[in-house]
Amino acid sequence: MFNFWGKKKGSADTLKNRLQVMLAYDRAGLPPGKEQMLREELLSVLKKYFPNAQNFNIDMQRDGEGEAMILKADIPLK
Amino acid sequence: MKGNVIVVTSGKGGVGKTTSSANVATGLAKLGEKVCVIDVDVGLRNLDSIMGLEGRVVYDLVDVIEGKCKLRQAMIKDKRVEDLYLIPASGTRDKDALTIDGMHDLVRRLLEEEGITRVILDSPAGIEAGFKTAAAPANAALVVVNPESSSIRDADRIIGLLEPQGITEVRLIINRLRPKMIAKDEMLSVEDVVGLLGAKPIGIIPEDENILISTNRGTPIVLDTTLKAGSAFWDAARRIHGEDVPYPSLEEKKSWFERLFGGGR
Repeated sequence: MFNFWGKKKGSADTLKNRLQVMLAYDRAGLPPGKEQMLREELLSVLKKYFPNAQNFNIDMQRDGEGEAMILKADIPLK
Repeated sequence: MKGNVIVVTSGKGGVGKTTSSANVATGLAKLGEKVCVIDVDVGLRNLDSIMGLEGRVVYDLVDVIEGKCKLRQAMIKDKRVEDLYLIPASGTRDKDALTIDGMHDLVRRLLEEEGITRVILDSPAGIEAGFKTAAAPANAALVVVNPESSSIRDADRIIGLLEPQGITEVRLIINRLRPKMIAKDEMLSVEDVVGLLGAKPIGIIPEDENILISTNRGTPIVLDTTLKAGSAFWDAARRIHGEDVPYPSLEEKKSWFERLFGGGR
């Protein structure tokens, strides 16, 4: 909340950051709380098919400009 | 704007949608276009009073669509500007009386039979049937947005709904900007809003108490370009008309201290 000079940043910046996240989830049609559920379910499916694989990494990421959400899964199969 | 049938919408209510419709329509007529503005907010008639035409309402949008009067009879001619007409909303009927086919047919007749060159559709708030009926005949949209959380979120929803309706020409009217608050970093700037919504602005309107005063009088503020918001709406109308009007800076000058130490932004 404080910049380099120790000056308190305004609420505009806070709102901008909050809106970037809000709009990304709104556009994806996925409420943030459900993201966790999705991740857990995906993990359990992956573990069922690849019982020996480890270090699954599933992430929701915002695209560069925050325009779109990307569901990214790193699944090392070895 | 290329689109000759423009829906004015916002998602959220109370952001200045009807005020924008009245001022854009009046401005375009002042620029020589033949304009018909239609209040599609059936059940909540407001555009007539904002334009000061409430005393001359005889027939309304539902009457025309149901064939209870001739189209010409429902078109109220403005007293101040040539070639500006209003079709008022019905104050008593509910919005189920409107049909998408009826709206398409009405707009077609305005363009083909009445010599209208630009139709402005003042949409009701919300994202449901009322909005969809208003947007159906449109080929362009003005999304009115205030620089605050819920208005931006609702505007984003509306923008997402316009494309499936076949409306690809979408421009923002960013209303109620307060330059002093923006300078203090307590209000989103024009650039912030444009970046978040990914749509280009065409009107940048500062907060101005004269808007309320002109609404009280029933005179669209765009008719007085000595006033801040009047001149901002005039610029918006000229841009929609196709003129290349630069955007004046709304930024308040920062103090030397803020500039030196990066205060604000």
